[in-house]
This record gives sequence, structure tokens and C-alpha cells, in this order.
Amino acid sequence: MNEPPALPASAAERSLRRAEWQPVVFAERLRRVELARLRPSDLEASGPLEALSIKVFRNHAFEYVASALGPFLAFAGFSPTVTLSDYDDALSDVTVGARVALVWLDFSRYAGRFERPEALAAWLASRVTAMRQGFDGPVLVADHAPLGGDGDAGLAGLNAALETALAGLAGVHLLPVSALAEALGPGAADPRSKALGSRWSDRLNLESARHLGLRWLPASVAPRLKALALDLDHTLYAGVLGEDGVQGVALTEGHRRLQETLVALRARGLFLAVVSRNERADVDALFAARDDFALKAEHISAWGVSWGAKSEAIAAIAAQLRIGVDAVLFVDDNPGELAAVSAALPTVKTLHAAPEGALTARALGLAPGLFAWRVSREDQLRAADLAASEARRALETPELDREAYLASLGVKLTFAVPQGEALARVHELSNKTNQFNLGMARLSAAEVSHRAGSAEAGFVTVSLEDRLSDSGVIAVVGARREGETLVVDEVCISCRAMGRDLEDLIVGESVAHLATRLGAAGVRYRWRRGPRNGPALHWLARYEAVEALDGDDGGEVPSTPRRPRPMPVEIIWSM
Amino acid sequence: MAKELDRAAVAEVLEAVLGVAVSRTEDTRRQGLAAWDSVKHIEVVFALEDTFEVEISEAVVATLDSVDAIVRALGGLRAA
Repeated sequence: MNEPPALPASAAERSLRRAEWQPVVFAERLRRVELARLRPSDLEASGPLEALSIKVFRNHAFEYVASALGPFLAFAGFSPTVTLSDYDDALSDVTVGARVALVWLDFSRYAGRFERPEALAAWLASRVTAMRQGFDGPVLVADHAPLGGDGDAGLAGLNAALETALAGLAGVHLLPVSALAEALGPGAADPRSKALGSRWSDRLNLESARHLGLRWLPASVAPRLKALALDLDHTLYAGVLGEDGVQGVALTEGHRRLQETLVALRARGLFLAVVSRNERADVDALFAARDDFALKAEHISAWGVSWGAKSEAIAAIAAQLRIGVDAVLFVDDNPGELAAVSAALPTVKTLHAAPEGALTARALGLAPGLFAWRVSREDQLRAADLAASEARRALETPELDREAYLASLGVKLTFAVPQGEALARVHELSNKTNQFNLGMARLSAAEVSHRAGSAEAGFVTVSLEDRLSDSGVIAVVGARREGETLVVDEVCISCRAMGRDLEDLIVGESVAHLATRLGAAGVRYRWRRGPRNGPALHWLARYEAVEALDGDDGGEVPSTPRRPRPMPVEIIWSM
Repeated sequence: MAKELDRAAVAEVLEAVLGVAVSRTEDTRRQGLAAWDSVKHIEVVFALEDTFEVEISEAVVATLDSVDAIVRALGGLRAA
């Protein structure tokens, strides 16, 4: 509906440029000159990169990181504007005025100034809390990178203390720069700190820029991808199945590592799909016969094996997985296939598979959109839940009416008022749900935390279980009281729960509870039109018997708190 | 492998880091080139070390104020 107009030829060009950039941005050893030769404007073929403003609070040089950040962020689809604070150990001015705050400290400068690492961590947490006044965006805090020498004296245990001190602060993430330094060993430090303004070597600067640009910053401001669509020949193994045969294709050491990486990504909640020009029977025989493959047929949630266009296969796979094509990363060794898919589906992300599987594995470890700060229970349940939905469809016979169908599933809904760690799932649903998202509020972690702690507002989360699967928390309803009225401005239901006619029950039960708890008599549903939230708007119009929702952008529909009609569903309140 | 050291090779490094055209035939001096500020100077040093596989001491960093000076200094470091 409000999708930006597609520019197919330009999208294909961008896909090819990205493939050309890959050897530089995913290089085992980064080179400053090679990075400097990459021009972010080259990736603007299909439209401008998304602006991303970053305020850096620092007490040592960040300039050498900032100058390398552009190509990595451009690869991830962003154009950064970096504003640097003064060199200030005290973090006295914590005004952000940007989309993301980044705290970049050389902790060795605090050595001896605090009695214990815990005191230093507590002080930093207090400065981050002060930063929250008027700023509810993400705050990223680089941890302590020990570089050896006297500078690190007394700082043992600081990173554990930072983790503890920052854990309770919503939307604050600790960046493991220490792991980057550890991987570089003695190469992480530069003894010329006086001339450089930093103890960090350029290798550590460049690795930090890479992780900020490809992983940490994109994960702070953009939703995670949901599926990998994988080519087979020359991508997951060496050789061509149709020519070399089931036993003739080679699982090299690099391809074995790649397959293990894919299995690990699946365990972190990503769907794996196969998109291949092959005979399906050959592909089935391959996965059945090759015991040495780490990737098994049961790891694949959707198959697109045909001689047709790969773009059509990817569109079909996205529909089967109930996700948008913009949440798919397509991996193929043939740049022509990448370009053709981009031309047909400009929002699909692409990754060029290298002949050596190990390079593709490293690229997948760094590729934008795959990193997540945390792996939720729902992430781990996702693939099994999808498989259960196939079995659920098989149960849905024309002879069975809807109520009998629900009764046969043994559906159980558990309602809860989320607090603490459960708020992370509220933030996730608010930012990842596209189809059944009524308010399109896209709440930040800090906003979620603030509203959950308010006497005037609140959330209800809903978990779904039936005899086929446990889907975890699949919905959130959020509202606040304005006078005597409950304004429901956040209703998100995961597509995993749709198709079972549970929406009335989920929303009605939640709203009735919120109205009672917050002391509201009336209800207004606030809605906004988004690119793909037709199902939510259609539901509201039906639920409130409104002919059509007026307004191009959004509006409100008055209602009353009411319990839904009884259904053969077990309802549990977990208080 | 370290790149062959000559004025053109040094100019290529400067051009990439500074984002401005640098002559292959005539000397280019830091003074008078706005893009070659103190921060970019350190990035130039990092890039030279990486490209030509040398280590430049703190004392030498300050002397690298032209393409010719860089060629001379790097030549000395490689010979050492």
C-alpha cells in the first residue's frame, strides 16, 4: 500500500556493488586503504541510504573508528552522521540529540580512581541513567578492552561489573570490544598513544568499526532478518548436483564450517530455506544420502527447488513462512542470480557466496541483520512452531466447524502483565510485527520500560500453546489512560498466532483487564496505517462494526471494554 | 605482500585516505592541503604501515610532511 516505488534495475546494480565490496568488508584482515576506496554513494543506486545519527561520548580518540565506519554502515544500508563529545572522563554533558548514543571509554584512565570495579560500573550506570532524561533511543556502551601494561591495574572484573550494572537499564547494550582485542592479541595495542590520542591499534579501530557498522548499530535501529534463502550448488558444497551426483559434490572443510554456521543461526531463530535450480528428487536424495552434511533436511523450513525464477521461489517461500520478502537474505554464488532477484524483489537482501565456504561462513557471522542482542525463547521455538502449523492445517477439515477445530487443538492462552526481562519480548513484538500491528507504535526499549512502570499505562502479553506446539509470547496489547478513557495504542499479534480466530479473544480479554486495572470506563482504539498492517485494520473494522477506517494515516475508533464471546479455549491469567 | 615503494604508490595511499587527487609526478606537501589535517595524518600513517609493511616510530610520524618525505622515510625503514 505505502510501499516505496521499486526501482528494479538500480536494485540489481546495488546488489552487484555489494558483492564487489564483500572481499573488503568481510576480509580476514581489514585494510584501511581498501576501505577508504569504497564510496558509500556507490550503494545508493536504488535510493538514498537511511540516515543514522550517532552521538559518541568518549575520553579517547574515536576519529579513527569513525573514518572507517562509513563503508560498513553503507553496506548495512545506512549513512552515518557522527557527533563527538569533548574528551571527558567525567561524562559531564550527557545530552544526546541523535538516534543512537555510543559510550566509548578507555577505562584505563579510571584506574586507581575508584576503590573497586563495581564502583566504577555503578558510576557509569548513573551517567547512562542521566542520559535517559529526554532520550529513549538505544545506548551502546563499549566494554573494557584490556591491552596489558599498567593501565589495566585494578580493572580485573570490570566487564562483569558493567554487565551487572547495566543489565537493568532498558535499551542499553554492552559491546564486547574486549573480545575483539582478545582475538587480536598483542596486535590490539599501539604503544604510540601520545601521538595517536589512543592506546588502540588501527587493527582494533577497524575491527571495532566493522562490528559497529555491520552488527551492533544495525541491530539497534532495524529489525532482524527472519530467513536465509540458500542456493545449493557451489554455495553449500563444491560442485553441481545435477552433474556430479549425490556423492560427487564435495563437502570441503570450509563448506562444513558454513553448514555448521547455518545450523547455529537456525538455533538462534532464523528460518533456513533452499532456493535451487535442480530436480527436487535429486535434492531429496542428496540430503538423505549425505550423512557428512551438518545441514539436514529437517533444518530446512521451506523448499524452493525448481527451474523457474529464483525470485518467484523466494516470494513463495516468504509467503509460506508468513514473513515479508524484506526479511529474507538470499545467498548465492552467482552474482547474476543475486541481481535478477534484486531486480524482481528490490527489498530482498543479498549475499554473494564465495567459492570457499569458510569465507561465506565468516560473511554470515558479520552480515547485517543477522545479529541479535539476545535470543528469546520465541526465537528458539520458531522453526518447530512453523512445522506444527502444517500439521494444524491438516487437522482443519471442511467437516470440522471452527469451534470443534479449536477444541481439537486444545488451545491454551496465558495472559500476563510483563515485567523485567519479559519486557524485551514486548519491545521485540512492537518492532517486528508488521501484519497484525494496529498502532504501529514501534516502541523503543526505554519507552516500553517507562510505560510498564507507570500507573497510567500498561501492557498485557499473551502466550499461546496447543497440543502441537508451544509458540511462546505471541501478542502484546498496550494502553494508557487519558482521563476516563483507555487509549489502546499498541496491539501486536505475531503471524504465528493468526488464522485461528483468536484475535477477538486476545484483544478483548487484554483490554478488559487493562481498563479495570487503570480505572477507565471507555475505550478508544488508536490505529495507524503501515505498509503491511491491513490484517490489523481489517480486524478493527470488523470488531467494532465500522464500515471503513477513515483517514490516510490513522485515527481512533471508540469502543467499550467488553469480554469476548466464549470459545473452546483455556484461558489462564499468570499474575 | 608489501607494495613496491615509489611516489606513485605513496600518492595512491594518500589519495584514498584523504579523498583528494595527489600528483604522481610532483611532490605534494601537507602544508597547504586542508584535507591532510592532524587526524588524517595519523590515518595516513596507519595506511602506510599497512600497505608497505613497516612500523613508523612516534618520532618519524611528525616528519612525514610531504610525499617525498614519506618516500624517503619508508625507504630508510625498509632498508634498515
